[in-house]
Amino acid sequence: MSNSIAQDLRAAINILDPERPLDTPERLANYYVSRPLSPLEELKMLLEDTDDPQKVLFTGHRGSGKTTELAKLVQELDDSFMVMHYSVKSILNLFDLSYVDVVLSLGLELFKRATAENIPVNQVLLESILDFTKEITRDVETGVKDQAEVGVSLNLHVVKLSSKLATEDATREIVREKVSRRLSDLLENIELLSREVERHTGKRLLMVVEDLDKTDLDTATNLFYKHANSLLAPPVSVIYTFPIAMRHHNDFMQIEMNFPNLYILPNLKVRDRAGKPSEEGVDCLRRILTCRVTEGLFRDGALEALAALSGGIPRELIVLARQASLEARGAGLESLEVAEIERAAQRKRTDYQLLLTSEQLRLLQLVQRHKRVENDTEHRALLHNLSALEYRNSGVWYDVHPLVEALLEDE
Amino acid sequence: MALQIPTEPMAEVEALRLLIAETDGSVLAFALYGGVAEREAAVGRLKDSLNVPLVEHALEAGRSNPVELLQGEGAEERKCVCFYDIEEALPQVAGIVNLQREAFGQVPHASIFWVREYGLREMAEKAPDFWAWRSGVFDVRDEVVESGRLQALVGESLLGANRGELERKVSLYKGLLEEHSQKEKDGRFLAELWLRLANVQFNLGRLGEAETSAREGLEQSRKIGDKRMESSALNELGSSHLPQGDFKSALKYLEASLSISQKVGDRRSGGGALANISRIYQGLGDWSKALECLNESLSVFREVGDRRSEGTISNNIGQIYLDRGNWSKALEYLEESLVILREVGDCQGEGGTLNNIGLIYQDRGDWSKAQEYLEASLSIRRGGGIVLG
Repeated sequence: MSNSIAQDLRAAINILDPERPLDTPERLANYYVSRPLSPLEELKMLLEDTDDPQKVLFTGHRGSGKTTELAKLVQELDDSFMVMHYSVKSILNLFDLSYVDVVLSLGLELFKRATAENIPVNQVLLESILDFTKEITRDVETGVKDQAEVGVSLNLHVVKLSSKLATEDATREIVREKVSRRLSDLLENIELLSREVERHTGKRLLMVVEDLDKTDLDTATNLFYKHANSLLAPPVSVIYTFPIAMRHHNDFMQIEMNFPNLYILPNLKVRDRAGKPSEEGVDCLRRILTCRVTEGLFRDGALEALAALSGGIPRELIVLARQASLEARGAGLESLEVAEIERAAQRKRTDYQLLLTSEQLRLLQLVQRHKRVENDTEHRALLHNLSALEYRNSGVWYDVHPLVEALLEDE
Repeated sequence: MALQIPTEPMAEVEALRLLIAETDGSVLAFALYGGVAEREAAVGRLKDSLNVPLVEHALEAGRSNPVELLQGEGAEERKCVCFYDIEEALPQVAGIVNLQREAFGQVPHASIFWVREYGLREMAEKAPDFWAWRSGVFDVRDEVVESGRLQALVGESLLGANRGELERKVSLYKGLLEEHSQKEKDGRFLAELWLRLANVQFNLGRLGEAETSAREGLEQSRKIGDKRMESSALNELGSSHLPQGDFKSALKYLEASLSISQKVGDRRSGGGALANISRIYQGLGDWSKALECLNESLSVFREVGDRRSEGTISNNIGQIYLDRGNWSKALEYLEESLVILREVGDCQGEGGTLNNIGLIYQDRGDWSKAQEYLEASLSIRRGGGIVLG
């Protein structure tokens, strides 16, 4: 464990990697930091303590640590649940995604897992699934010869179907049309198969569908608003990720009625509404850094400066700390001083300077003053580019990203 | 918090170099530039100072997937992979990288996206998840372009360039043309750029585009009244008609080119026109006329001391004798060509000549000799460089 903590700046630069979520047991063990106000505990309780399968929507700001939190949740639920954690990206084309695809992907994942775990499935159900996949793939793919053994033939059909779904637009259209006509059969097969799996493993099923948060708003509305019933139908627990911008959508109230279990991973609060530093949040951000980089490399005030400038977004913290380490290396230093952090901040500030228009800077001044955003396109764009940030504790409030503040003083 | 501008900030290229040098694995960054000249100056400086090889890819509307290009770089050796002209490939490229951002973390390379302000904004907005993974934006808009650097880059020889490098040149020339098109005083530079662009497009087999560029070059050189340039433009224009078999148009332009170069005493350009005209006669099956042109061209290049062209023309003469079945004459010219091309280090040409010599032995039925030469040709064209005794 000791060599997982950077002892010098060069090692720090390599450990502070913004491109890598904590998605392996080893990385989770080394670097996971539990955070205040994480919805994780509550979500875990909901899943463990209810007997019925739950449907959950999960979201958070970019860089807030969604993937890491989900990976941690999956790890903690491993004893009581059989978890299937997958990205729709690996099966489907996100540009063009319908509810039929999502339900079908649930069925395919379930089937693949059951096969991989050698779970014996009764012959009648196998034949029913084979009948279904054959019907779906009939016009699409004629290359699969029917085998004497149901299982082998079925596997081939499923593999073909999966690869076809991911690649060809025309094929996907045909598949989608056929499945939508036989959706009730698909749901029935999922139900029967999940019961077999649960009976055999003694565990309940939980499916975690990642990357639905990267779909555009039209696609997301289509899924979570117009076809909520289909997403709610499979009789297993499912956590669907969804785009955070949906919350400001006109149809969101309706979505919330359909999916009452909505969890949002908040940004860490580095100060309160009045601007006073918030110890709990700063402490959490400090720990995120010090479990990666030995504390001795941070000179007086360096950790606090990094935490404050990050705005409470873990990925921003990592990027800033990496850049500051680079600045320090460039200056021939061996530890991180506040001056290097300010240099790194200046560099990142330039990004915002390039992206924000004068009109946006003016709006941000209002956000800073009133701690709120209007529900309109202009304000949503500010949340989208992270120049305005959302915080929650005793209600939701908004503030300007600390890096952007200096630009407002300039205006 | 007041806006503090730190004293003595690191130069941007140095900061980018440091990021690449200090990291061992994948890195994603943006470099912001204003004009192609600054970009090239920054890339040149980066290339000179890096401890890993730098490779470059220009994107375009039909070639908009950087993930495929990145994966094509393999994973054995760490590289700095530069992507240009993102703006040409929008909006597709934004959608692709946003959904496939993991691919950038799965290779050991540093991926640097060189963007203009517009491209940067679009990527931040349309590829927000990808944008969020950046290690930084490096602003090279103030990069000083050393005098002569741009000219050297534009004038860089295309000898032995592969397809990717030729594509890069297309991107460079087009960028510079766009930036300089409004500047009256850059007329000569513009004409040169059009002609170079025509030449690269011709080498890439894009004859229609080459013809258009050559016409632009012709118009530009006439506008500034530069006769030598006009002759070169006519030569490019004529050449672009050759592969399609449009000999009538080709001959019209090439003869016009020849006549101008004779008038202004540009021997070298005249030699080039003659060599191209000979290809028309070859196409028409008039071997003696073709040989006549080539011999005249050969003596011109000997006179002006252009060894490389001399080697190429000797090869072309040898090739005609080879086609006519006159093996001893063919061998005489081809061997001379081989000596000259090796002397000037033209591997591509050398490979062609070796191939022709191999064909002579093949025609004669000397299989082992034929095989020896053909393999040497293949190897040198692939960059292996076997030297025959």
